[in-house]
Amino acid sequence: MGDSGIAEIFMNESREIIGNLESDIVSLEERSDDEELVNGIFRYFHTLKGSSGIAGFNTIYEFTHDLENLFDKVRSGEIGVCAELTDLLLSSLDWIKSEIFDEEVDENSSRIREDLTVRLKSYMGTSSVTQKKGEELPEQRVHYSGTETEKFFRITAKFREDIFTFGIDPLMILEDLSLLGEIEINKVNKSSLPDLFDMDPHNCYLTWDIILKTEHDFEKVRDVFIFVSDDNDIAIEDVTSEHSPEVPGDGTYKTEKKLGEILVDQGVIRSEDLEEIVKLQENRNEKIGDIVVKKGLASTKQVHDALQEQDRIKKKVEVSTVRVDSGKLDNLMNLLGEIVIGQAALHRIADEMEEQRAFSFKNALYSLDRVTREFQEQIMSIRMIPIGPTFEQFKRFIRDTAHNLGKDIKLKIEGADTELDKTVIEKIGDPLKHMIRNSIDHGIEPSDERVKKGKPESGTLTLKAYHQEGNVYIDIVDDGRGVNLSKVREKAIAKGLISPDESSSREKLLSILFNPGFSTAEQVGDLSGRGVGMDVVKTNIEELRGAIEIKTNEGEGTLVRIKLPLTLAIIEGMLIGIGNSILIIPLLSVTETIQIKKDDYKTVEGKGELILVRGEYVSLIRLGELFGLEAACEDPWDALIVIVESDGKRVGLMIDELIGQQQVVIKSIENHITLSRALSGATILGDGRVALIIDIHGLVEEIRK
Amino acid sequence: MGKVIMVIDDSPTIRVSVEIALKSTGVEVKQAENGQDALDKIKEITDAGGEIALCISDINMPVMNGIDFIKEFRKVDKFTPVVVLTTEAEKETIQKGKEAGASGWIIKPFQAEDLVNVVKRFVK
Repeated sequence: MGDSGIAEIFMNESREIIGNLESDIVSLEERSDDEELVNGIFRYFHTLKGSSGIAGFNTIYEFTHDLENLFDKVRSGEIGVCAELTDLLLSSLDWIKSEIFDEEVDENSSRIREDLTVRLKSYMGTSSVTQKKGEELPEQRVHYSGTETEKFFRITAKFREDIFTFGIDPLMILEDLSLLGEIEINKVNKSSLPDLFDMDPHNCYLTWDIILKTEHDFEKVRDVFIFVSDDNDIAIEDVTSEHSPEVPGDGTYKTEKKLGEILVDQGVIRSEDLEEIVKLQENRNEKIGDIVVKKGLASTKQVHDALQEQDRIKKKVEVSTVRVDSGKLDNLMNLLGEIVIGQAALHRIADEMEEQRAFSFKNALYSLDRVTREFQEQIMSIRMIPIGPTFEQFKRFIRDTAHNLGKDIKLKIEGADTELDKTVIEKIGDPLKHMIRNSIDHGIEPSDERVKKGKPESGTLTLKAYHQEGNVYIDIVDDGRGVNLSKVREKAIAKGLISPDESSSREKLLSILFNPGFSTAEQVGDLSGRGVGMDVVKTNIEELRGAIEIKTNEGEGTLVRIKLPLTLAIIEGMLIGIGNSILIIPLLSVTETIQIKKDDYKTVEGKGELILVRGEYVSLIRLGELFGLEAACEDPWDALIVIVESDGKRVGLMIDELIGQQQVVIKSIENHITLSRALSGATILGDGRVALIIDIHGLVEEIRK
Repeated sequence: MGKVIMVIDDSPTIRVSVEIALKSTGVEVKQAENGQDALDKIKEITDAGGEIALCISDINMPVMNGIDFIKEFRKVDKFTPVVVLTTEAEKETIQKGKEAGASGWIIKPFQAEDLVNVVKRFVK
């Protein structure tokens, strides 16, 4: 702050101070026990020091610093007042005066200062010298200088409730912390928040849990809390050792530390040993811990301790995730949906632009598309959670259920880390439970029956999840008795679901299982067999845009396969036009789009309109008619036919025109609007129009009726 | 009268330095020579409808020192932050200031930039 205005103010101030000091120091010889006088002198030195530092008189700042220290000892009674001391003080003042006011620089100035400093220090005794000669101005707060290595600190901060009454805002402290480095995790514990009516807005109820990555040392971190540390519950812990310094490029930390590394860290084995052991391990396929013990490099206790440490690290690191309210994710997904809609609008505008400008505009748009798509994938990946925990939940249920029925059942879980959309996981629990219950109740036989059949005594139920072709599959497999198809047929006839003379395929019979009110259980059991459920299961899964199928071999077992989409929020859609309206067909269901010849068209009594597609007749559905829209084309051979497939069934949808293909965001339609089963929702198009999304599965079902 | 930052220091050099350093923030700065002077001026300002946004106070001052000032000030104003001006050598005064109800500290000598940063943190 070398402002000339400041210098002038400082000179005036110091002239006054030095004048006062001179007379006070002289008085000190007579009144050395006058506390007020001593304090006054100290304060003058103190003020002089502060002012000189601000005004940029660094030599004076350093010198008065020593004077202040010396006089502090006088004040505390450590040093007695004598003529020698007052001489020294007065000579010091003389030097300060000449330094500030003499226009010509005295060439002896620095020598005089050195002499004085030596005298001052010898007076104080070397041990109490706090500042070395020639040292720079003290390091300033706020301006943080770093050390070379990175450290991690875990900070849990619970501030006293009335912290705001000290003019302190915890956020300010967090901001200070962020100046020191990176705040890796910031978990806010809201558990002590009272009810709204009991809440005092002047109080602070939150607790913070922070991992700080910083180059500064413990003291610097602690200094941030200097204003709150005593009366608040602040814990700062150096957790550097738990964080691997190797930070991979994607910013995530190694979630685990290898056992060998821990042993090396703990000084149990040398890193050379470790290399050798790792080589051995590759050949022998043994556990590191076993090899270490076998080679006599560590005791089992040491390995055990290291394993515990490994667990501890894992647990700590596991905490280093951010918990986000799932509603926020949904919002994010919704917003992304709006972006996709906005982009579709831009594409439309681009289509109407004159060619030259359209080219560069479209180029820019395509790169935006790419980013959006990646963005979408990222959000989706956040929404994806492994199915493992859901499977695990059934362990107990299966055990108890089997026990109640006197059955012995082993559970096998495969693909526990298969990830599904959070919403899907939430909704899949009940259907899964139902199917598992069916398997235990109807499928797997009691042990004695199994033994008679030459099967292993205990039955096996397998829950298996896997990805395939953009879908997630969940299989529920049992090695029980399978579905007795002839019994199903009997029952179906008895219930009037099929006619006695109708020959029905396996497929048909199995699909009857999902008919409302159908049950084959001879005895109405406690758990299932009441015919309620299978149809509900099917509906639930279809609501998730999924499908369910059953495969069975009598006597060998049953497989229930649930097919689910990866996400529920966005689909690839085919935009089609009928008259003035636009509808969307999920692209996944579309197999091809064709035009037919007049000869390929037939009408069959009881089956309606049929068209010949690749040697096979499929039903033709006039979409316009179905939805009450006025279609432009009346004859199928003039129109376009979209062939869609659902549950292995193909149907042809008659449309007027194909408009394009784009990602569409599914917007749910308010519950009070009763939607045709053939529709699954709606979306907003780029031009702001609303287009309904066709539910192919529902549509095919509808037609069958 | 709008928001005011009160600078309390017996050294005019410090007071003026603070005022100059804070010019860029656009907040009005008022000076007081000691704690008592500050209390009087603060009362004047608040009576006139002004608002104290922040106090920056030295500790070691004649008449009324910084610690006593903070204690007195806290009796009438619980929430306005008070930042203690101190030196590296007297860090123990930070503790005393804290007990009295101070909200932060600045070490003398300071750079204008540092001071502005501190003020920005406390004054929104």
